[in-house]
Amino acid sequence: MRTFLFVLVLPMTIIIMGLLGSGQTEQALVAKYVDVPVPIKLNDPIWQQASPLTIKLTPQQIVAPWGGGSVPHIEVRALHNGQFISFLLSWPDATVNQELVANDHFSDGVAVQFPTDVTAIPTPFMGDAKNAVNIWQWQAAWQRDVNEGGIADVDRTHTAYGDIYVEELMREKGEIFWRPGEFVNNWRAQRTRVTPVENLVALGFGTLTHLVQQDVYGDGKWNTGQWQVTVGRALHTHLSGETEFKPGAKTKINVAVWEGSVQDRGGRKSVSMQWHPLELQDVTTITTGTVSQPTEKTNPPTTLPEPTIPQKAPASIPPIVPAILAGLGGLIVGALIAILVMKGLSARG
Amino acid sequence: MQSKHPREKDGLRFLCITPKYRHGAHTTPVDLDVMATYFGPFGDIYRRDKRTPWTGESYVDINPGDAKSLSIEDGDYVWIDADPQDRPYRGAKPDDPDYKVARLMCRARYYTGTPRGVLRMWFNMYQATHGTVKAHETRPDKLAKNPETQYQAIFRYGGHQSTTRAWLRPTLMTDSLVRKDVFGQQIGQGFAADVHCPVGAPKESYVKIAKAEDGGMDAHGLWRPARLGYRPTYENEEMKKYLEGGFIAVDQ
Amino acid sequence: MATVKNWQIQREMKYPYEEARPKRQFSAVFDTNKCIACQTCTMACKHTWTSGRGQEYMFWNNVETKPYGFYPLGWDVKILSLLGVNHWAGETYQGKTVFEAAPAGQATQGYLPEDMDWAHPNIGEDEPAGTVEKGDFFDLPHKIWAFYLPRLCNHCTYPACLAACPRKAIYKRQEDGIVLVDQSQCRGYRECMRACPYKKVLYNGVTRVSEKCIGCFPLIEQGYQTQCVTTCIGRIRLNGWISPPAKADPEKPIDFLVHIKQLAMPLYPQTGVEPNIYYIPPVHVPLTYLHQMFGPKVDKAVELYKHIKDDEQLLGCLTLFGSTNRWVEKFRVEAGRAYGYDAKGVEIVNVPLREPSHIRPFFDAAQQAYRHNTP
Repeated sequence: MRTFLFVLVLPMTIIIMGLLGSGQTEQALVAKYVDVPVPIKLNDPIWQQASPLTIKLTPQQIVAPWGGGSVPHIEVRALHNGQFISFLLSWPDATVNQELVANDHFSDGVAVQFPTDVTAIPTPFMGDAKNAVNIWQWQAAWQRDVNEGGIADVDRTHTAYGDIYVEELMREKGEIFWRPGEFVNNWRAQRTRVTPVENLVALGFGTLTHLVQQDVYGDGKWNTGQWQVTVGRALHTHLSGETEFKPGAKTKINVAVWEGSVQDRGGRKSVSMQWHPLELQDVTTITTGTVSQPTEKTNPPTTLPEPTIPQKAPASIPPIVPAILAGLGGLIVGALIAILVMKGLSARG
Repeated sequence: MQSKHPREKDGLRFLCITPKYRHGAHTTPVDLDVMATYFGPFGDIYRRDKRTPWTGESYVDINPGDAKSLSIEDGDYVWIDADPQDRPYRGAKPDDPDYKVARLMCRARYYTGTPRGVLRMWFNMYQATHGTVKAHETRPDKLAKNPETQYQAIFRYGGHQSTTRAWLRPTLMTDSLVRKDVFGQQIGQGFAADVHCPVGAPKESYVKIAKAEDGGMDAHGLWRPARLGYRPTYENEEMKKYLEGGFIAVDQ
Repeated sequence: MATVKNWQIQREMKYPYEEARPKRQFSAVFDTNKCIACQTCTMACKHTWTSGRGQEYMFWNNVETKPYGFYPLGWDVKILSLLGVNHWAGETYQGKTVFEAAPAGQATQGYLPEDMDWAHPNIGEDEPAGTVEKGDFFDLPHKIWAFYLPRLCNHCTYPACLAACPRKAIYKRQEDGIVLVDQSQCRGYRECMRACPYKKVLYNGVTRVSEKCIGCFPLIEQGYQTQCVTTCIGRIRLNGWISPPAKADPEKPIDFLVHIKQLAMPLYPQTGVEPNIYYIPPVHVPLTYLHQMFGPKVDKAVELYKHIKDDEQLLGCLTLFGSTNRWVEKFRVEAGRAYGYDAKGVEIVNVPLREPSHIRPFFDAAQQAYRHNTP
């Protein structure tokens, strides 16, 4: 009997531990190497070559203001060509929120976050005082600004029937009298927007800071219940605050999503509570002189054809399965221990 | 007190007064866009309800009891009509093209300080003209602004003078009367419109009032502040408590 | 979370930042008994500061009729309702401030207005509470009543907007206590809009960041009072510095009115933000409504105001309202005149408490003729 139990318990324990371990092993986002020009368009079939990572999202309840939680998950893909890296982000969203005119308008948005220094990785939540994160934030409202010719003209739902704007009489002098946000060049206020993605750095909650260099490109489109957004940048910039990507090397990525229809903004967002490994595949072939560079002005096409990449996440083991197995394993181990103890007791008795 | 107005049998039973408002002399309180938004309760610089003629609009104060007896809600648009024999103009017929330009339409405001049987409108508003009515009816944004002259009306239709009739004192308005002209220092003779004292104050405006359109956005339902319960006779529970000072108790 | 002292509610309370009173605190007193809602102040501020794109709906200063007037719609009904029914025991507020009533995960209790709440800024104009019935007559307080409430940012000692901003984009100036939105730092989250009980931070839909009353600081820095104060034709307003009660200086006009005479009081002090615009309450309005708005000290203030002609110091101080556009640092009343002084102690204005008047005799002996009044 003891031999039988030994033969049964030990392998079961190993299997169970293995399963438990796999439940804790983080699935990595692999940025495959592809020999194509970047930026990669949203609807480019090459995205099918990328292995998606589905990241579960939860409400942000670490620091006030709490909020978010209406977006359950997001799918992330990545590709690089040795010089530039592109991410494709897809998440469910029933409504398009891209207006920022009225005080109760909030924009849909997504952001990806990387440690500025891969050797000094902070907490997964917006960095800390010693260790910075580099954040690329895309907003649907900025996408709309870019799509509509780059001018953030806002008198859409709120045409004011005023008599005159005195400042417009002074236009030739180039003076701005009454738009202080624009006067100090706050990025949110800019009237000519060339990219829908903002490049930022943060050292903890409340420290999000616009970077001088805006070298991140992006494009986003909504298709019946889903946003698809691509963001990307050169692998190496060697600029302050910005993360570096190295083919063959590992780093981290985190993500956050804002749902405009429930007044998400700032800390009111759906977040992931942990870093996710990001691995760039090694460059297997070296290309010469055919890689296209993104221009200063991103020029997304004004109409995109329907995407051909699958709408659903490809089948992968959902996180629930290892948990169930671990649970079952726990029951079996418990039962076996109980039998052994009973045996031991009865042997003594 | 026993005699009745000869037109009461036609539904005319309100005295409609049109005083000038403390916010400015004559039309000055509505000369500017921002002042027009402050001139009464219906101002909106963005004109989100496109029916509104400009950034503000004319309105009539009505006792809530009178209004409810006529099924007029706070914020509704109303027609106000006087003796049809000569108002809005002599010989007016409903199918005249001029009729809708001259017939008074404005918003109704519940005002508890108005006595029953009295309506009050402010004098200071720019009235509708053929050009503003055409603009109001043909522009997609319905702004009541004459495209040729840029004249901006603060009425959709008609004006506060659509229902008013002045009585010229016959002893003074003779053809031989010597009087100063309306503007400048010239001395003239005979009848002249708008010359005070001979023309002036004695006037009559005995009217009936009827609902024209719902006050709610695009003519659906109640005007929003009434619907939300912040208006007299529409108060929600919190508003009632607030009026009584019920959110604070002071223990002496 | 720090513990700070709030003299308006006579107790300590929680606030996200340590107590740090500025060197001087910008303040004003408004006499609601004199306001006629002419809106000159509103238009002065509008033309000076909010005439640009995105600012069309903004009125950093507004005057609303109470009780049916609001800008935005129902703002005070809503914050009172969110705080619930609360009470004062003597001069100590026993209820919850906006900080203490904050739901889990929020910096304050509050709400974000809807877009349409900002339409109709002069809703409720002149509308009284109650109806006029046949045979009604006036007594004090009035059976039916209304009054005008001019309002602007209160440049609070413990601003809710500042507490709510997760980016510290709102700051309070050390030199004068004026509260400002840093236009570079703001990202338009509008937590401040949600938090401010008085709804005096406003979002600009063109720049996509938020703005507020700046206390006319360019004028203050040059020794002048604000646009809204100096253009008031009814002379109901006076700017000045307010000290905490322990440091109250009877020669400073605001200290005198607020701390010494206790004639002027803050607006909805129960919010806990220690607002710094003070009001002389309207003497004809029922006290139950006034307790809700100004707190328990309103009874004595109303009585004092009714007897103001017996208090030369008080009368003199009020006569300085609207007498100069320069900042009055100190004042003095003596022998039927009121004097205002600047920060250097130099006299900048003096006014008589009684207008000089002469009555001419009906019969002019020199001309041997009777004088008549001819209109």
